[in-house]
Amino acid sequence: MARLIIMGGGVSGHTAASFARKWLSKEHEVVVVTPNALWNWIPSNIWVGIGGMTKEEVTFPLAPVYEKAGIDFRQAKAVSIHPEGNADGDDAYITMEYTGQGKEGQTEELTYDYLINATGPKLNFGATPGLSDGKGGLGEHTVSVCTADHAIHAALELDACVEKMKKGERQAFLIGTGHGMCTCQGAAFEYIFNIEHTLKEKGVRDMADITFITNESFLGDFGMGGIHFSMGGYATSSKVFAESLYAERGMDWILGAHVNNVEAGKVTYESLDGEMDEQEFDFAMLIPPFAGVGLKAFAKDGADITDTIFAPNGFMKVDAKYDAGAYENWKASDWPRTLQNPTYKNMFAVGIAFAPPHTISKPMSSPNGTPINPTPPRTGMPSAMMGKAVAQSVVDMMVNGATEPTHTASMAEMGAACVASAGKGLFTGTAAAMTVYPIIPDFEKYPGVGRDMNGTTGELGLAAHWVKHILHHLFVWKAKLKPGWTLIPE
Amino acid sequence: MVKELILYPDERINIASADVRHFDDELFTLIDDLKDTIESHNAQGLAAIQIAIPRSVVVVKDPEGNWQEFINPRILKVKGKTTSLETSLYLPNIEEEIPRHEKISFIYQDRNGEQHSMHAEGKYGFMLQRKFDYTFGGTFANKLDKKNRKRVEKNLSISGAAGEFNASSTISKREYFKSMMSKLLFFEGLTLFSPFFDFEKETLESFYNYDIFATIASLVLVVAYFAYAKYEASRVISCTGCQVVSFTAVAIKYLIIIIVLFAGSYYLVNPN
Repeated sequence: MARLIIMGGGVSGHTAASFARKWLSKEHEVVVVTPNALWNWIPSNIWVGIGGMTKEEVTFPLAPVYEKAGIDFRQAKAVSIHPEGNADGDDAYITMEYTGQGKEGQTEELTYDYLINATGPKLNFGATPGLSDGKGGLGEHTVSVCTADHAIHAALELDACVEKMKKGERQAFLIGTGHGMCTCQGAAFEYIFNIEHTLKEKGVRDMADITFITNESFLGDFGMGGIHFSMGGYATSSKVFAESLYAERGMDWILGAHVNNVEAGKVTYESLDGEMDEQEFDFAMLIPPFAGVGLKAFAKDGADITDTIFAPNGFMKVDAKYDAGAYENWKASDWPRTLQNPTYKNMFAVGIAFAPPHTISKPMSSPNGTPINPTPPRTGMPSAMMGKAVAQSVVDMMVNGATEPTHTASMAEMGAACVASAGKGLFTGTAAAMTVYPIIPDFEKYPGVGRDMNGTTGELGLAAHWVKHILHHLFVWKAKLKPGWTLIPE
Repeated sequence: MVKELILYPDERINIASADVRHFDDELFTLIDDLKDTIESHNAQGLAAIQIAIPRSVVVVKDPEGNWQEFINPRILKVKGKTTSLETSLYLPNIEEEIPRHEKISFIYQDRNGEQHSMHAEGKYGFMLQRKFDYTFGGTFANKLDKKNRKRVEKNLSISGAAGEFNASSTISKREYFKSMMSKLLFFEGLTLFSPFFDFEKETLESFYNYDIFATIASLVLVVAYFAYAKYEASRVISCTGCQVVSFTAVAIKYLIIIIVLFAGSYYLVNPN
């Protein structure tokens, strides 16, 4: 018998756990260690943030689902990894601190044969002065849609602004990224369209000035160096598409911005051209940058080996090429395939938890040396694909005698679909659907923009909006491991 | 070397140019070619895509007549909305009022890869906005509203260049199945009107035979459509979920149409 521990129960961790449980016989243990009692379908938080969905619609309790599936669920936060064991024994183990199940605050050690790190990001509000509450949480000046609770708060603040506008008070909305090194521009993009749509529905659109602020160097970069899709057989940039969407809706945008301070009603930011500027707001949703969750690692003798296992940003090192050098040398093959840690072969990292070799977008910085460029996005679909591939590899290594990972999930061989909706109504909603292949531009295989034009499309309209709706229900169904869940693709 | 310009309706103008990653001889040659081509056409400037090279490179003459080279330009800030009367080498003999910004500030790299920033306004600013737009695909006609775009298309076709600005997206091969089904079912739908006419029994019989054929053929096509769409979705690792939802919905829609039409045909067209 062997034990697989999965740290984190988000999209990638949950996928890895449920597939591993399905493929492993009962004598093997699958343990999920996650500090959250609820599973959250994060893409739908956008709809919670405009009051269009409740928290209950986008979350569900994990414990009953795992109990039924036969997965050992520990509502606890992973604290450290001891891949070589300690002075008392050679068994690798992790330490964790409970956050629920009546054991709050208790710590425990748990040995493992295989470990999957799917801890996701730490929402690093503290990186921008004024964005946090001083304790690392969300600050008082802005809102966020990164968690379901944040989104509920955002919806309440939005309602308050709508009331003011109904009384004739003009309101300025600022939506975007709260730091020069943020990812998830797609979420901000989607949120701003939902805000605009909601204000229109409430009849107060003419009282609102809506501005997008982003660390992208052009609108529609999305942290992927732009999405390129085929128009008349030729590669067209998402910039043209995105700019016309903003212009049609009378929304302004600020590009190449590193927000370096937030105070009540005002942000200051540094631009890629080195200039400092200010933007005022009544309502601001600024996405924080991501960092690793701060796991520590120790060798057998107790020496701190965190630097060996984790990159400086706190994400776990995997089979990526971390010394790729300057932008002109970047290749698609720099990106990890098996997601195995190079030092400890029974350790893997998936989803946002793995350290990317470099950004996908063109690296840029201001003349003052401040890096301002989007960091690589890792959305639900690639995260789930990684979770599944790693689960397959681990199962093969655990029970089928494989010595090396048997499955790969490289973002350079994966497409992504972004369905960004604007408005939740069944007949009034609209959405932009864009698919791109591959996520990481492969300049060797596809000279030019690095993308395969046969795998990329863009579409706008009600149909795309319906797809988003159906996907919400499909994915929540799948995550609840209800009958037929394995038939629903990632 | 003077290069040939691409002219309307050559759709390569829509290609999004790739960022320059290597600042080498190939880039320097491209810059020289752009300068030669600008001189020979007595133009103010060119984006590389205008000579069919999809690289983010723009070469212009500034108001003092000096060469300026902009590699990987990005407009960061804009101020003031206005319009400018513009022409473009891509659209011969066309002059249009285009919405532009009064002032822009932008960053770019020089031929050594060093990053710089700059402000521009007035006519020079308008030209830079036009050239930089080319590097992301499309022409100034994309900035016109639908009515004016149609008018420009008409004027161009009068002068011998027929085409359209917004070419449709490339269609997936599974769309051919849909198109075939639609045609078969359209004619089946037409036969449902036969009770309004005084057709011979034999004619009705041929209509009914066609309807049976169209029904069977469409059923086969729906199955083929579904199978092909599934195959197509499996070819790339992608958000297969989105695609499966979309093509399943289309297949169900067609099945319903086929059943409804055949029921109609059985009661209205069938002479027996």
